[in-house]
Amino acid sequence: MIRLKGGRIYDPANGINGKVMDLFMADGKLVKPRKNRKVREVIDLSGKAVMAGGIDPHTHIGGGKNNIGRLLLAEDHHNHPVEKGKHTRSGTGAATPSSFITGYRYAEMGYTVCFEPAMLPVNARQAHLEMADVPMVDTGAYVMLGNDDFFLRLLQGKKDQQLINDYTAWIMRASKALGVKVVNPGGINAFKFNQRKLDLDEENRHYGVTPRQILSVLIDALEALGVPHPLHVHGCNLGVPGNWQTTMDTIDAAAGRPLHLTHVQFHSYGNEGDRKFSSAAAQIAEAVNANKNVSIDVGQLMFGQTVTTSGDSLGQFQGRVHAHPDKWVCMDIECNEGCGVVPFRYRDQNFVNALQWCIGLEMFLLVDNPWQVFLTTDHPNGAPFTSYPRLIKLLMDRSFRNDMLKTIHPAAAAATNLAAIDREYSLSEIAILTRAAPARSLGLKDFGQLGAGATADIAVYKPQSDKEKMFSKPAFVFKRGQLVVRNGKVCATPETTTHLVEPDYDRGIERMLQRHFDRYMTMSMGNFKISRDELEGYNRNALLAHPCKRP
Amino acid sequence: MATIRDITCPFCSLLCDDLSIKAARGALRPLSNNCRLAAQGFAAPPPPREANIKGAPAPVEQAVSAAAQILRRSKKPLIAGLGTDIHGIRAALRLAETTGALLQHKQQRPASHNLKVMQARGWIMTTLTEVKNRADVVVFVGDGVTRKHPRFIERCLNAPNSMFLGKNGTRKLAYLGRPAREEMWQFSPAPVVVSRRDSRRNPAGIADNLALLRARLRGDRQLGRERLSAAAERKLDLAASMLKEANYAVLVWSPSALPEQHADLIIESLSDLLRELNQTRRAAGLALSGNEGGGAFQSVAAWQTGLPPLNIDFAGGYPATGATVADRASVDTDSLVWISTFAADKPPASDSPVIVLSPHPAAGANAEVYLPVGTPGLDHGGVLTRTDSVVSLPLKPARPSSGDSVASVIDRILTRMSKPGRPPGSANRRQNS
Repeated sequence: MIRLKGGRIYDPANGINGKVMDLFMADGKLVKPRKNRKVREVIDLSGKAVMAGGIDPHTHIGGGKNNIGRLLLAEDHHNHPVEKGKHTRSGTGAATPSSFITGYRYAEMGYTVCFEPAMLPVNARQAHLEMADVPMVDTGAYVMLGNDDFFLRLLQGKKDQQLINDYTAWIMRASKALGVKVVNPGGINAFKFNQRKLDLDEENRHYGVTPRQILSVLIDALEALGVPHPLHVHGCNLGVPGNWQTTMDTIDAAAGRPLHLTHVQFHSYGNEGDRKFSSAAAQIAEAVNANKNVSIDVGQLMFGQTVTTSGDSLGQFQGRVHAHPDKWVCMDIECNEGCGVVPFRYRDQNFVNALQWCIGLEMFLLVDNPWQVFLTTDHPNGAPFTSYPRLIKLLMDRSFRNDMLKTIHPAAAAATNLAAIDREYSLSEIAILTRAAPARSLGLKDFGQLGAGATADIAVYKPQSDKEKMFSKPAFVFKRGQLVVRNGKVCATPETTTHLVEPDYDRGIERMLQRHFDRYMTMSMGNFKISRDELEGYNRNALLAHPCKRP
Repeated sequence: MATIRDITCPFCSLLCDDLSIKAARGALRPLSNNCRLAAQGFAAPPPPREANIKGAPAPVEQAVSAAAQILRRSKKPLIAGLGTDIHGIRAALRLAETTGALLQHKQQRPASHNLKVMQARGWIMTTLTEVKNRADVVVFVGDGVTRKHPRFIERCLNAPNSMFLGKNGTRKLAYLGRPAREEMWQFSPAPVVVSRRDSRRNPAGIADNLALLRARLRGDRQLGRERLSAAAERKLDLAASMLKEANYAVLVWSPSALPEQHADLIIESLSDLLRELNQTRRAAGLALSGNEGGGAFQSVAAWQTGLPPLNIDFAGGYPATGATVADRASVDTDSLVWISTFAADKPPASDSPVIVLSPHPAAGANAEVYLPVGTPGLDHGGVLTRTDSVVSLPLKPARPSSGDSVASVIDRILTRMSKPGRPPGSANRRQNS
């Protein structure tokens, strides 16, 4: 047993807010001290702030589109080499770091679990292989559903909801997923039929199915299967001025059922003012406040060069005109989904970019309940994940925020209410945004908290008035009880695992799928499925299947 | 003797997974869904049990030690060929990082043409299942575009079912370049062939035709008229109108089936044509490439190093792109590790010590050290990436075999390098280390 002595504990999941107390770890878990358990080591944490390991519920760290992004950002890799070290492997890249570097940088900020949010079913094998090369952190993924032709044919044929449920469960198990994401519901498919936009109630030209229907059946499917994380929704019309109305309608479409709206910053745009681009963060935040069934992650934008990698081939194709540098890749993929990769350079002197930055911050600050908000930049789409410490400072330090506001495009600064918002996040609230809330939403009972029985993923920070400095360099990070980061540097490479759920389904669906694969696909159904053994063979010592709720 | 079904063929990047194979005493023969490359590949005998050191038979572990010794002394190894699966590539990257090596895949020259255009301009691409179900117009660009992917036409264009073309749905086909005879007898309907002489004799022909086709799509029918016969002009017009009327046009090329000196230009022009077509209608490209683990190398290299799979150099302790794409066996390297599990090819000539990992002893006949390894998908499992870079398929062993995987041999070499000393089974012999 190891005693972590005298730290100031921020564990909002257990109602502990800055209390000085000891923690005890044994066999990778937090434990209650017992007389017969010998303390073999005492680590003094007095004066330190202690939180559970960080959990990123939305970061693009596995799958083919990340590789496309890396290849498009050649300079980012050429200019940022990282040498191999005593405990670490080499790599390159700042905006889209290579896989090993991704793991090290996450751990060096105190993160211990990361989730790829847009795993294509047909690309799942590659996504898991890549994530097996992301060291330090546990990984997992949400599988994309809602644009594939098999699914849309079920909807077109007005098949029973039970079949949708079975198909959803089958896809989750075949691809080894923790959740389901829908990206531009039906829009990726519609683009293959040359539709150039698809609103929430607009019909797919071929199938006659609307995004609202797709959302509704998928929400129902996840509820019926008892999958803990609600449907992870990248809505229609990403990035389009005026899309806040679509976002409001999407909340409405959920009709009180659980819903997670992802990178909502990109979906909270008005079309008012001289430039026909305005903030609608207040309206969206108000709707989130009024709908406790809704959670969001922000997808905060930060200034600099990055690349946007998305499953939304339609949205990205429309966004190609903003590419910087001027190059982009879109793909139609396997009658399944798609992808689009467009480099962006967000500039603080560009009106739109500057206002996007404000909209993200407004969203964080106007949603009352921190349990409904998760801290993300939609890495690398809004900014690389390495900008989290700075983002935390923007949320915790009003004077810093207002100083930054004075430096951006003046018309954008004039168009936001940011300066009038007094709110400053507390350490405990930051712990909710970055650990406790994502863990609860994803059904990771033993993560994001420091109670007895929890996994001993722990980040220890030295309190500083400069919160960016504080969160950039933890004093210690423990992964399953093992010290892996000391003074912000990796000192050991721990064993990590893949998180997933395994919902039950009626095997009868495989007869329909077999026929579909035999007739239309170009790989067999057997090879589409990833087995537990195969996944464990990639580098993962164990898989961690979280329970589904009993219906 | 047994028939094994649902075998995945690793011998081209289509990764057909519908083969039936007959196995008799280690020899494999495809029975159905066969092709030239599969027949040749599966016929290869299993790897031998013994290694070679300087041409003399030796136990594998001794050869592992000998290889470790060479690499420990080497200041600058070249790891080349890289004909292996994803796990073999991961191991080769570990070895390269440890030894400061330079990496060159045997297909890197054709691959470089695609990568240059993709990195400079991007493009809009598609995958095999989309082609099969959606492509109502397919335009091939090159000479014998599918020759290294023999079942592309059968599986993607002539399949009995497609979701959006109806049963036996008709596609319109065009060919900018010279179709191979084996392609022509598969095409149905016959393609409009826009070709002026063999591109070996007229290497600019394809690029020129592509420029004229794009001009016609823009409404410019005058460009190049003086160079065209009436027949050629008619065919160009036909190809242009096909593309204009297509619901979903696919342009198919293979970088190795393009005239080398014009390949960059042609692919750049294809990328531009795809952008132009997609202004108002749908079209996408499909590049047939990445055989012999080229696709696996591209994927793993991109995620582990962040770099394109061209001359990745670990000399500085981190990955960087080396200056030249020329295949160089001995420019400034002082040892060569040749990995080739899908073909019987020998390493390039080299003045430095050579270590060969291959199922074929003949490939290592002149090497300092020959290490037998199996072929993924024949002798052991593995994973390969398909030509579209999206789908990866698992490979299962098709025969009982003693063949080690490249990953396992490299890991043992790395262990030996970090713990020099006596190899197992050589208790009485002193090793120089």
